[in-house]
Amino acid sequence: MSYDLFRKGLDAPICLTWEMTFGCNLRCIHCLSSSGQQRENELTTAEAKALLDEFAAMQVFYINVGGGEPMSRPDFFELMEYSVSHGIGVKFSTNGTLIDRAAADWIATTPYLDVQISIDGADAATNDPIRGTGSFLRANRAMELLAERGFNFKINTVVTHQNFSQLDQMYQMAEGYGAQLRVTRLRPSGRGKDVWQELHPTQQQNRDLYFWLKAHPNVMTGDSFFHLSALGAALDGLNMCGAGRIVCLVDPVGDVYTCPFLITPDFKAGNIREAGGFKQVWQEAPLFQFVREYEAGGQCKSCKSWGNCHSGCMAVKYFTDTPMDQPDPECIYIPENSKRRIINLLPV
Amino acid sequence: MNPSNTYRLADGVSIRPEKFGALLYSYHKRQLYFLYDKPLIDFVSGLDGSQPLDQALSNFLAERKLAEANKPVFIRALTRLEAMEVLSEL
Repeated sequence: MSYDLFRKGLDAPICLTWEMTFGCNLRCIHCLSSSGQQRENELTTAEAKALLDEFAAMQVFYINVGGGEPMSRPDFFELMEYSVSHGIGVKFSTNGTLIDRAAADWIATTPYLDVQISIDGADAATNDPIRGTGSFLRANRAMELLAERGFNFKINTVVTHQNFSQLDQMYQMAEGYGAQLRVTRLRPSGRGKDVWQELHPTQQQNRDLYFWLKAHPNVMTGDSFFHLSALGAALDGLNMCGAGRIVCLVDPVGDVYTCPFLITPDFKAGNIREAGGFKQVWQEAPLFQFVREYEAGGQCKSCKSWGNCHSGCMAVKYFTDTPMDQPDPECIYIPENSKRRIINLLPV
Repeated sequence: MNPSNTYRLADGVSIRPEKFGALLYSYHKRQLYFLYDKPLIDFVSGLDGSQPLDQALSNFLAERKLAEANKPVFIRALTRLEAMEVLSEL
């Protein structure tokens, strides 16, 4: 139902990702935006506020704020307060390293603010090779500060081959903090392209993940595993690619992309600094018109699971050099009598 | 829901027109809802809490040249919206 409503796009995004800065004090090996160094031409405070004014006028319901490390912007608190006071809810992603007592107090008392802290394993031995030495400990300190204040935050984990077996531990860790676990799909975008083969879950793990998610309905996914819905009954969520239809990405220099996983010139729709601003990009950019008309074709259309997954994630296809009319490289549904072999994408 | 009481869109709920009808978002529940019925959307969007629901609905139907017989259908839909905490009583 929602697929039919949303496929051709909305007058404004339901939500969008705004990456505030490329600056980051960590160098995660799978970073989607290859972040590290702040760039000189990132949006100024005034430009950022004008952008938020546009979102408010278009009634964008909420923004997913990320980076880089968004808290590394000196105007972070000012901009977040500006957003919520203009009717735009905020969900921000952080590595947690900059959450001190004062920041935790602010988080716990600001309305319409959700926070997710990223860790990619249930222990430092699993997390730190991905996110950097000491990052597990520092993230946990932030979680303790938020938990002390009774704040219901999210723990966000990118599911990998290596941490898959720790999902139950991650779940228990979240419960222990009074927090909620959110798991997301590893995309081969940014630096993630270099490590995807090594880190991405095996096909068996993806199948097991589908059933694990079904058994843990309070684990959030941001709808990022909709390709797994091909296996059977759809997972919770819209189960569709929202790129350029219901979501998009604005990057730190104002470039607008179809989604946070497709930061590449082929999927850049425009820039908010151009005349017409964000609204014109959203409503008129030829690229967005294209994705709203686009439907994956090929063998997927004759698959009986097509209605559940619509051929999967464009970004994963793009960065693995998979043609768009081929199944998602992590498709776990193999129709009976299929001539398609299980593609061996296991780490070698 | 008591139609003789006054209702309006609850605090922390935003309604946005779309081609198919409207999207509703509850900031408290972080929940998205869909509305498809255009007259219902117009009525809900215009609820300002200035008069009892029953009166507001009568005026709305008269303006739209819609029969009073439509009232029970509206009331049923509005009752659902109140149960979802999209509408709140003043």
